[in-house]
Amino acid sequence: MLVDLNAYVGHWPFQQFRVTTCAKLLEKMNQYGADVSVVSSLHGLFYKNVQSANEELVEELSSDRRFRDRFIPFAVINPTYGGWREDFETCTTKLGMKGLRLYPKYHNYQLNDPGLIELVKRARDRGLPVAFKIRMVDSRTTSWMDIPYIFGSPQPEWDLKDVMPIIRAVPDAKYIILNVANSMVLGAEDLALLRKTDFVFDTSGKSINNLAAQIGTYGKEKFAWGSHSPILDYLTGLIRVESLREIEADAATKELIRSGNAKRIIGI
Amino acid sequence: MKATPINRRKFVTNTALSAMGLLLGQDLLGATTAESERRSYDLMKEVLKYRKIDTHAHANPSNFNTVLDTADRLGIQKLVLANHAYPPFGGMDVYRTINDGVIAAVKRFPDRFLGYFTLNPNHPKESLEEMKRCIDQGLIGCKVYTEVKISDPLYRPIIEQCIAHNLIVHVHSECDGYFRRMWDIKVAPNASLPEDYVIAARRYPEAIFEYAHIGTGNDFEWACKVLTGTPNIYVNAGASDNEEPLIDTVLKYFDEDKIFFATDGSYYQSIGKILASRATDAQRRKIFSENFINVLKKGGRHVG
Repeated sequence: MLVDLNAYVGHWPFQQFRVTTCAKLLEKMNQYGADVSVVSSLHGLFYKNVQSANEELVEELSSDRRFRDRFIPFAVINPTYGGWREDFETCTTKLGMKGLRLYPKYHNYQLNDPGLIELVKRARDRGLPVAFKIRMVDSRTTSWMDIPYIFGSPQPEWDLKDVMPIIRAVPDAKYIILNVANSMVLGAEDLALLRKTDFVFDTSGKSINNLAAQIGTYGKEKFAWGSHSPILDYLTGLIRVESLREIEADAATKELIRSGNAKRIIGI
Repeated sequence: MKATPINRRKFVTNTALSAMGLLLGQDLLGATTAESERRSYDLMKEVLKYRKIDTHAHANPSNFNTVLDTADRLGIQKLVLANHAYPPFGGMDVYRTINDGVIAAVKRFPDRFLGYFTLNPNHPKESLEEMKRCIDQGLIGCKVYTEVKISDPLYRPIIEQCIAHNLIVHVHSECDGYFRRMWDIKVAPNASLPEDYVIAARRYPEAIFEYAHIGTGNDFEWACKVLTGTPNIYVNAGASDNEEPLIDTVLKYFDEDKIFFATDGSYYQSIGKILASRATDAQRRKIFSENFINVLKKGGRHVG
């Protein structure tokens, strides 16, 4: 079984991508043998009221019975916007959202923000994973209208260490760390904490460049296939998994990365 | 990846939309339909199906084994070493040392490595002498980083010698895009922009230029729109950025014979973006190796 832990439905405002709808994503999944995709709204992270995007996503998912057993929706929540607690409740109890994708950089808050900590604790209490992106796109090539986290500037893109404040604050929550680009270096204390945390990296990010060694560092339970579709090509994250040799990852380990770890972290 | 059997009914009972209480009972027909639509896809068979020559590789004795192991894993038969000086300045002794390393690597692994030499055009006389030495040692192209722009007059004698010896002119590239223009982050002030390539290519229509890693550190749509219509510019599609539309956009703007496979050390992305593109099987064969082989053949070099 193959589960894509990192896919989107929708548009990116600064560039044309092709796989923008559930129907197109389903076609891509069928082409490459993927069974299930975890999705959230792509353009929704730019809405002031992100709940509208969550509702749009569910409406699209409900529009075709073919979608119903192929997609798992995650909610985009902005814990600094009015009514976010109600949004969280609605998404998780009525709309069937199985996790959260949060965007501190796009929504302009820090990882020690009290609202964020409260939201993550609420997700923890419901057994829902919380996903953070190291980056959406490469800042070197993105639009002048995108967020000012710029490679080579005083405010660079995130490294892995930049996610750690929320993990330190709520270490017993479940986390998904997506599109791991840039440095993965952590201090000894943070590395020890992360190893103990229930989390997964998806395999779409360019820093997953030696998966065998990275499995050695973090463990085989800590990786799951993700495509970062439609922004990145559909296959790179999967080549990283499938090209592992038997001595590096046996069949059971590959199956964990293809689907088992995603199922575990989502709680299904 | 070979798809494994799935008990989708059991899976669906636990997934999101079923929680809505709306859909599960109706899903079975949809699941059956979707199951029939889902194709079996053997990813590694596709990866290994194509002969590959990486036209933009970096390696040195400390990582030869690692690089070749990765190449073996992904079916990359040959790699063109395009080592360069970093930081991109210094006397020619620095460049001679780098070139000695490439020459030694090609001699040590003649079936796996080809090599470009590197120069500092700020030292014109010594660069031409070094160029002659490297040609005599069998190197097949010239790689320069950001010592000077490709359109700089200092570059002209080097390009003219590349023409005389049928050598590829390969220069690091960037775009004068967002982060350079809006944020004044000039990581490499003398980096060759697409516009600089066009100036050089039009001045020397008989030269063969290899535009480095389109889409990495540069905006591929910008680069395509500027470079298109310049028939002696080939693009290498390698390096770390693997945006989904990249290869299809390059194919829209460039002749399919003008695209090289390259990695710049980002092996997975450089293969994944080609396999995930709409390129036909024949186009993939051209990109992965045939185009480069043909360019070398025109220069009298035959890669087995």
